[in-house]
Amino acid sequence: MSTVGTQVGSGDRAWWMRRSFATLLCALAALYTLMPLIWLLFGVTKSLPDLYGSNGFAPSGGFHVWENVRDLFAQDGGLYGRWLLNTAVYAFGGAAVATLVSVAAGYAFDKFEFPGREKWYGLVIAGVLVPHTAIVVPMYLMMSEIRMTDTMWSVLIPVMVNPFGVYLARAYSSGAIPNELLESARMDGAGELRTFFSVGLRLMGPGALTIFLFQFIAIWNNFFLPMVMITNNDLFTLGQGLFVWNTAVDQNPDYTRMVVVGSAVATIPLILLFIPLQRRWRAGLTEGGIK
Amino acid sequence: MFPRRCHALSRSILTTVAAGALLTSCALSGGSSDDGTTTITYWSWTSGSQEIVDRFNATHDDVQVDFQLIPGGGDGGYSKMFNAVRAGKAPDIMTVEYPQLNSFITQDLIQPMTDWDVAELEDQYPEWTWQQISPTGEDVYALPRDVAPTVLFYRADLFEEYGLTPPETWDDFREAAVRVQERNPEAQLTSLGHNDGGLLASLAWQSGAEWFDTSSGEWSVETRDDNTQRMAAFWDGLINEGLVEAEPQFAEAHISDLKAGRTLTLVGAPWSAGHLSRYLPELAGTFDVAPIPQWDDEPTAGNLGGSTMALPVGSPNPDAAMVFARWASTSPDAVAAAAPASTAYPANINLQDTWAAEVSSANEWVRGMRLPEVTSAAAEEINPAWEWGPDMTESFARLTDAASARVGRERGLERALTDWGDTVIDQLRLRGYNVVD
Amino acid sequence: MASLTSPRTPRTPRATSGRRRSSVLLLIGPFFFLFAFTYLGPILYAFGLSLFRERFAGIGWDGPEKVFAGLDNYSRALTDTEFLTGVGRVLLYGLIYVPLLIALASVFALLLDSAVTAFRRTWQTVLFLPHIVPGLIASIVWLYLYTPGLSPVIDGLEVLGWEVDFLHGATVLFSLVNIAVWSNLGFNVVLIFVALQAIPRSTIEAARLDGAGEARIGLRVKLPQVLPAMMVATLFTIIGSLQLFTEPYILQASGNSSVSSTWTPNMLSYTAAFQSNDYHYAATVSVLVAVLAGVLSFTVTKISNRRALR
Repeated sequence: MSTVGTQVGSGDRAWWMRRSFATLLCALAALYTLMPLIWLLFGVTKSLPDLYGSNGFAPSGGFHVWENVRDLFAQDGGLYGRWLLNTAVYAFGGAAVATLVSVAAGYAFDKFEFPGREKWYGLVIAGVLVPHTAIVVPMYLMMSEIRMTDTMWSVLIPVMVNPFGVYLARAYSSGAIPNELLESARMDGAGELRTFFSVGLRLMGPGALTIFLFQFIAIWNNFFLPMVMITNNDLFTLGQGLFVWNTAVDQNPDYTRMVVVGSAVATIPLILLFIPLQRRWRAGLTEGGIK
Repeated sequence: MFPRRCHALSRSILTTVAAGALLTSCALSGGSSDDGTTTITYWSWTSGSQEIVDRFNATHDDVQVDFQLIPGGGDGGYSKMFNAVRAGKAPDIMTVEYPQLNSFITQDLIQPMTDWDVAELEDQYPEWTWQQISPTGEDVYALPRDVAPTVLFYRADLFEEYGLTPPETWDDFREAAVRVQERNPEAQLTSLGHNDGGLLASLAWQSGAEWFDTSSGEWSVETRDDNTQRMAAFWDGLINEGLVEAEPQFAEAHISDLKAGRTLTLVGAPWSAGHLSRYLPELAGTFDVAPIPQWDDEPTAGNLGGSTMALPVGSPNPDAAMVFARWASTSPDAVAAAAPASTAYPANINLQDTWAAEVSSANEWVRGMRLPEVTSAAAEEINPAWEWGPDMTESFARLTDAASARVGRERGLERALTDWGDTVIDQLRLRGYNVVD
Repeated sequence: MASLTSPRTPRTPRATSGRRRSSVLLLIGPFFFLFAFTYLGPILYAFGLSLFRERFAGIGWDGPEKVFAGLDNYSRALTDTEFLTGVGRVLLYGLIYVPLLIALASVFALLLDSAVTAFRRTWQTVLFLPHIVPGLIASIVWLYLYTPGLSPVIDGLEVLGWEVDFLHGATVLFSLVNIAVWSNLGFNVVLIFVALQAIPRSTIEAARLDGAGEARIGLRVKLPQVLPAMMVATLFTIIGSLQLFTEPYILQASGNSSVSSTWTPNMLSYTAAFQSNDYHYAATVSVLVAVLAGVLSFTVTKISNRRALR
């Protein structure tokens, strides 16, 4: 009896050791992940001298969040708010169109047989494989030739295309839309386009959400494209604006504070918004066959 | 259900797109309005621009200026201008510094001002500035706003405390650097902004170098000459012996060293006083200015910065733009307006007395400094033979790369400058320029 | 998913009527129209540009003249030490970054999948957060954490007697890898984790009954099953690392690092276009990068397909 007891006990201890070790590893990774965000969070509360002069991982005398945020939105005639709006237009508009376009194409690739289908699809995959930044400068050169740079379109149009979205949509379509359902819709005399909108889109909803979120984040995070295309301050994205402020620090030291506060304001709400969406997104990944 | 959501989606897309189109068209407004006023846009980053524009707008009816702050030239301002001019979205008028004028001229991005009778202004400007805005010797491509003779800003209070006087020669400067460290091991006499191509060029300029020369009808590029090398060897010595630190100018570390009195001097130009006053407001009254230390008996100065107003190709309202440009570079009113924000020294000889009177009275921080007399003497001593290369936006970027990689090592600056000279020659040849061997 | 290029078996083989063909056109038309405008057009246009160059004559005051250059720009690039070192740097960066990221992501995915670990949901959410932080902001914040005099990290390390310069010398490459790992770890953990969750529990139970320990199960039973997901993660990470621009560009723009303005091929192309006004060379570099990247990621896909089939 007693020997069995010790065996269970030592097994128990070993299990606890493993548990603590595994948990500790995760905790360290979490600490590493949170470190820059915590620095940013404390940064929002600080005045300019404190940003330079105090420990970045601790609060310092005074709580300056409100005046920092107020100054942020007042700086340079309220440009920050403008940039926020622009970024939202690029991200929502671009992601919405990209999603619709990708879902339609993915659906067609899955549900229709047409000449050269796999050749066309190969082109889509080639698009996935070529890194987007390699296209940006050529795109600028082309748009500059037709005088399209420095317009909202020069950023919006390129982000309306997402070959990877087509790939995902094709997978969603084959997984989520039974062919029989389409058949019966056709029997009822519905046109192909109507069938797509009434049956296809509805069933691909969760997948479409994943594609949307993918593209939304990609646009929100994109720095290179707007940086190359846009020179007009009024059309800047947040990232571009913050970058320009960051390079202007040697002309006005207060831009340091604006950049820190501006980064936090651009980041924190999005994080809060995204946490609840995260699970949906993961579900979409599973469905898309990334497994 | 879903079809309706889909409609909502497409409606929201349409709205977004419409909003986009609206924003774009808003951004493109400007130009003449019904009441005969022409509104022009002016791109600049130099301090005092807003004040000059405000004064101009208050005193003019037919032309109004919309000032747009852009990033500093090397920080993206010039890229922005290149982009805009090529995309047909040029502003009406813009700031270009002397070194970069040639980049704009060779690329056909700015237009000659000859049609606006600027030639008559020639005798109001120092000969060397006129050569730089009219490098072909025929067309005039810009109007000079300010010049920037090199001078030495120093902490008068700490100099007194350490028993130092402003060094007259670079040898004195070196001795002073040693003395400072003896008195306070934490402190240094100065720091070198090694990543600033313009600063390195001004130091070489003052030493008597002429990096670029077109007098033979071809480009010659020379950074192996004795004058460049003595300057480079001098700073390499100071840096390697730990007497001087190489660090980016006006970056955080530099500012906090100046603030704490750990860095005692700044090689700068008149405009630097404005920068210092913004960074170190609490140190008002502690700084003074002296002539730049000399190499030889003959006093010389380099030029560090200074800007011009240039007319981009595709400027929508060139006539109105020239009214503003001419006013900004020739009117005492412009100098007076800028004085509280900017300490830049006007290039126009007729305006220099106004500046001397205004700069001390309008700027608390400058009051009591010898800025007017030191500046006007230094401005006379700028070596007029200096020329800039055909593409300094690129060449400066490469100089920054070379210096960042090498300075701090044994003979680092010396090697950086000779390597850079070779790179520039290669680059120019690649683009088809004729370069002397 | 790992079979990116392998065609699917057509499930609805049907003769295409005229009406259906026009529906197909309407469904895939918008995509290919935009695709042509934003992928094919620019690449072709860039290729066209790359066959020309601008020539200045004499001192150059008369402006440039556009001349046909054949493949001169390509031979220039392939002998340009800046371009070649840039390519080398990106490859080196990828060689460090890709295996490191995939290894870390696999370890944490396994930990999050294992019942041994406590608070799994919390870690998962936390690790994912940086994915939502724009690369630019991540770079700026890390730049502060790398800057002497501002960074509490450097101060802390100095207390431990370790003086480190994050922004110069060989260290800077690792500093960049760190930013990328920070930004992308969580996303890749999720990719692999999702695949782990899909493994039938019975397989794992069987291994457990055979007396395999948790670590052994993870490495021997679970990982082989998620190899396709790891391949996808690897592929995306490789494509991502070839895009290297934002992070080094921010460090370069700060003026206080040894990152030069032509540090990666993308930066070289940007600098050529926007600083040197040399559109033809910028186009050449872009075409080369696109081809190089396409070939590389295509090869990886082929290899991963072969692996996945085994």
